[in-house]
Amino acid sequence: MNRFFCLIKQQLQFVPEMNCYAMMWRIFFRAPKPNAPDTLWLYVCFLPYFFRSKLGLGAKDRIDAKFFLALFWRFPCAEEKVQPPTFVKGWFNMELLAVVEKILWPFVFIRRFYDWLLSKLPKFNYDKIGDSLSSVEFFFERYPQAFLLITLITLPVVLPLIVTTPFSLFEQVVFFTATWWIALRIRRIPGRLPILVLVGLSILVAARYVWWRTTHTLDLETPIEKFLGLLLYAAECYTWLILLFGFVQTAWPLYRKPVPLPKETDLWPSVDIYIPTYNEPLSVVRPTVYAACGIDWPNDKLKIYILDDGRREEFKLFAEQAGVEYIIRPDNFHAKAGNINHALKKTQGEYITIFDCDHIPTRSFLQTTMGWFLKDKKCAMLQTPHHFFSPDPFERNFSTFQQVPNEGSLFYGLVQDGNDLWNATFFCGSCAVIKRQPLLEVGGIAVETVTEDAHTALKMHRRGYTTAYLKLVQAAGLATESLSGHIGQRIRWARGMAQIFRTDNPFLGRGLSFMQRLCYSNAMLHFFYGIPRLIFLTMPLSYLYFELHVINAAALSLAAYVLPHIMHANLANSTMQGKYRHSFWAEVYESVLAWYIVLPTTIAFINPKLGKFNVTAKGGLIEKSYFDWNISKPYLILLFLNLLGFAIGVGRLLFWNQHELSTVMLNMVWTGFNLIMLGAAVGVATEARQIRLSHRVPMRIPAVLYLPQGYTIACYTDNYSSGGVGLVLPEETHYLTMKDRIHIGLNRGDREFCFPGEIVMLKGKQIGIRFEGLSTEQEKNLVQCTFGRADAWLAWDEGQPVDKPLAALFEVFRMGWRGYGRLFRHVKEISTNWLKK
Amino acid sequence: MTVSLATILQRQNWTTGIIELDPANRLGLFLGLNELLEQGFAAHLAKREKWCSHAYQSADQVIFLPFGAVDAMTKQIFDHALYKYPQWLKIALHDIVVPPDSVFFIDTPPWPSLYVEQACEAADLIVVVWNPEPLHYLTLSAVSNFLAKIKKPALFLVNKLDVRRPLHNDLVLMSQNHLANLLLPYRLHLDEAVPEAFANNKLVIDHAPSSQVSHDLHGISAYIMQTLHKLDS
Repeated sequence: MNRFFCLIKQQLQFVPEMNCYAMMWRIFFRAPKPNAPDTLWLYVCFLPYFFRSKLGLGAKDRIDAKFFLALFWRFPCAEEKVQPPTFVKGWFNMELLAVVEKILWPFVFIRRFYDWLLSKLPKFNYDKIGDSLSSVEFFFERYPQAFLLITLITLPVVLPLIVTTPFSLFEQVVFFTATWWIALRIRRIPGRLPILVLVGLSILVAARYVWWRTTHTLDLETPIEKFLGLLLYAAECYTWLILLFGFVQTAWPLYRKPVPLPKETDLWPSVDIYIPTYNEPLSVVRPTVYAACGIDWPNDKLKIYILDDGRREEFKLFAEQAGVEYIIRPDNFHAKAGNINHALKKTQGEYITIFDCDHIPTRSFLQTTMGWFLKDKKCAMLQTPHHFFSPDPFERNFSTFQQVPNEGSLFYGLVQDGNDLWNATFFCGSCAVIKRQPLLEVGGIAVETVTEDAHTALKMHRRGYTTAYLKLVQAAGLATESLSGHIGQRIRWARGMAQIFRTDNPFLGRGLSFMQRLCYSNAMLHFFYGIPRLIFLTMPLSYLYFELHVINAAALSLAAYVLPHIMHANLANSTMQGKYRHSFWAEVYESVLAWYIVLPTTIAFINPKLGKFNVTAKGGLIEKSYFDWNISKPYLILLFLNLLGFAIGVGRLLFWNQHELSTVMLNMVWTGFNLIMLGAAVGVATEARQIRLSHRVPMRIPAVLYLPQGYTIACYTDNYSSGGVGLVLPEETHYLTMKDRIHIGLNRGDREFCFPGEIVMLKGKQIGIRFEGLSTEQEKNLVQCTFGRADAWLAWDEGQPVDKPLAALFEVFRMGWRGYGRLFRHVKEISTNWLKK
Repeated sequence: MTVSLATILQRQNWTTGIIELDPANRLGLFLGLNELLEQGFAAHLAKREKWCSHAYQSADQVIFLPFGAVDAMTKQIFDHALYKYPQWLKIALHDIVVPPDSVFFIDTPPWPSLYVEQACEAADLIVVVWNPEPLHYLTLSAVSNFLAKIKKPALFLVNKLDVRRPLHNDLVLMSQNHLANLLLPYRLHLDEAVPEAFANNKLVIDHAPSSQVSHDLHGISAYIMQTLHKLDS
């Protein structure tokens, strides 16, 4: 026996130092030649280390459950600690993309194959095609009637033919593949015409879906299914309508340019600037007034008024000090609208400019805007964008400031310019110039609704006046501070729009062109998204909980129709508005607000007189980060319901009732998407801490540093606020020490102003300075040198990433993911506190 | 300042030169000399010799024609010649063989003087340098009257401006209203680095390149060249 083992050992060339694994290996693989390394075995030995390093595990970690978990889950490792501080640390904070990458990393060959496939495909020179299309575009721009004519002739012929032809499932898939391929090619071509073709394709595919949905899927069995099915159908109808209106509204933005004023200033009209305020602190109003004083306009033709509904003594004193007029009234009827109407009676300027008390105008405001009034005598109102230099709750709580366009970006970046083409620009309450005479003709600012601004513009349009939109940021302000404030503001808008829709419906009444009616209706209908959004958030549950079939169709054919529609709509929207709204973010914004605007819009729709005006709070400070349980209550309930639904779905897949697997899967995907949205909604409710009261605005303008020793240093500002300024020096200097009293020279036009300050931060080339002992005059100059600069906000949208739909989807996923992380953390915090008690 | 401007332009590959039309004879010190120059064109001119035989070249290749130390007698002869031939410098400048794209600065004593008139006659562009002091400000109108009379393009440049002093600001503002676009948009700021650079025998643009004064000088040189281009075309 012993000899037998010896023989085997000899045959298999076992060495005493081999362990049992190596011995087993040797049974199947031949030993290497003498003095040659056993390469294969070395590789095998190396594999665990390789996996460990790839999965971020320590060298000492054994191959156990954690190892297998790490295949799907990235563990936080040491290097993550140096990353910028985020809210949630730990597993929930990890990048979803990274996880996917980690899982997919062995499949390099898929990627290689894809690259190879791409290299074999024919190549298009998109720019060349765009160039050749530009002449056609130019023709259509000159003769828009021709474009309309072509569209009107081709649509009724082509659309019914393509839309109503019945396809089998396979044919539908082929049809979608073809349209999708065309769309992806067209998307790369620059210019306006390709966008219109994309829109056309999207409408085509959507229409096909609508037709199929209407004719094939509504034949439901029980009354409850019928009811729910029709409810879903109605919600979908609403989204189709909004999609279509949106396409038409933003298809061809005007992008108006400023008109120069005549050389002789005698021809310039007189302007009154109104700064209405109610309960805002003086520190918020002060910069606005100072900046308004600096607006470039003949002195005798410019008057500034503070309209103080709070009737505060300190405001009166301040007005006297700043050399502006101060108007109060005995009552507070109709809030801001009433305040302005009261001032209208007391002032005489030909034009009125309204700034919310926190919107700081630039000095070029009137010179850029007034030209259009002199050119177009019928022009009654000109609106400029509202720009916010502080992050809104979404941006702050998600830390996406200047990374993802905010909610208002789409409206001021694209929608208003689209409206402008059809002479349907709305008045937005601030940063606008209105001609006095038309305003008086419509009875001043409208007081019937809580969105007095849009209503006033509607009234002026009815009287045949024109309005204009100039996409040049000429004023900037503070965004709402907290989520509750933000929601409050949106509730007001939604309620007001619903009120106008009821009391002064743009589709009825005289004086509007068809396109104006359409633009107004879209703006108002848009605010009714509450109910449809809630329906989408809950509808898959009806199947998962009760097995109700709300759509009478096989899951596969539903997917074959609905996916093309969603994908094409997203592609068209992304191409059209990519700079101003990233894909899937509209769903996030809407999901957060949906619950809160359902009630106000419904009530206002039923009885427009109910409800009152609420002031939007600004300029506050969130001292401690907290979770707003109150605001997020409805989402927590929805979240719980969806989670339960998802769990039931998993159960159905694995254990019971397994006869409708594809339907279960489809509903689970839908619920999963809803869960992501709800996660994001819950995530927003974690109010991030806000450190400074005065917001730092990043801006690079030349500055001069005057040192006490008599030296000067030419440098640039890094950021500024009303309290201080951050400077970047060209090189490190040893002349500076903390607490040094220095002076800073800033330019306004061709004048230089000097401000005393103290060094409060010294870090290499970067220094921070706090202004000290500024006189009123100096404060005024400071505002005019910084916020009031003509070029202060010109480059605000530069460097913002343009939408990439898939990246945006992952971003939204990540937000949802983080939302759960935050929720988990807060629940843990509360439960430990509770247990301690 | 003249030396700095000339050096900046020379470093931008222009042929530049400085003619010191100032009996004070101090410009050489700014170019790196340690004492006043003995030799200069004034004395030679008084002797009716070729005037530019005493040109120097600075380390930065800037051509420099010093005035030279002169006694009272020579100066008087020189002055008399200037008085008699107001176009002398203009004609004399044509004698110098230089590449077509070259810039010459003529440094003069304060206005009014014979030297200034002579220089104005020869120059394409006149830059009036003034300090924001009340006395200077009050002379400005007289200077502008003089400039209007000779009908030459001119620019006004504020020197040694201290923005921390309200008086300086007011005077600059007043001159802005008064001179409008004749006032150079760049001003030379008062800076301790200027005398320090001189004491170190350096140019301020090398001694303190990140000081505001250096920035001002670069801006001024660019602006002057731009104006000259405009005048040419």
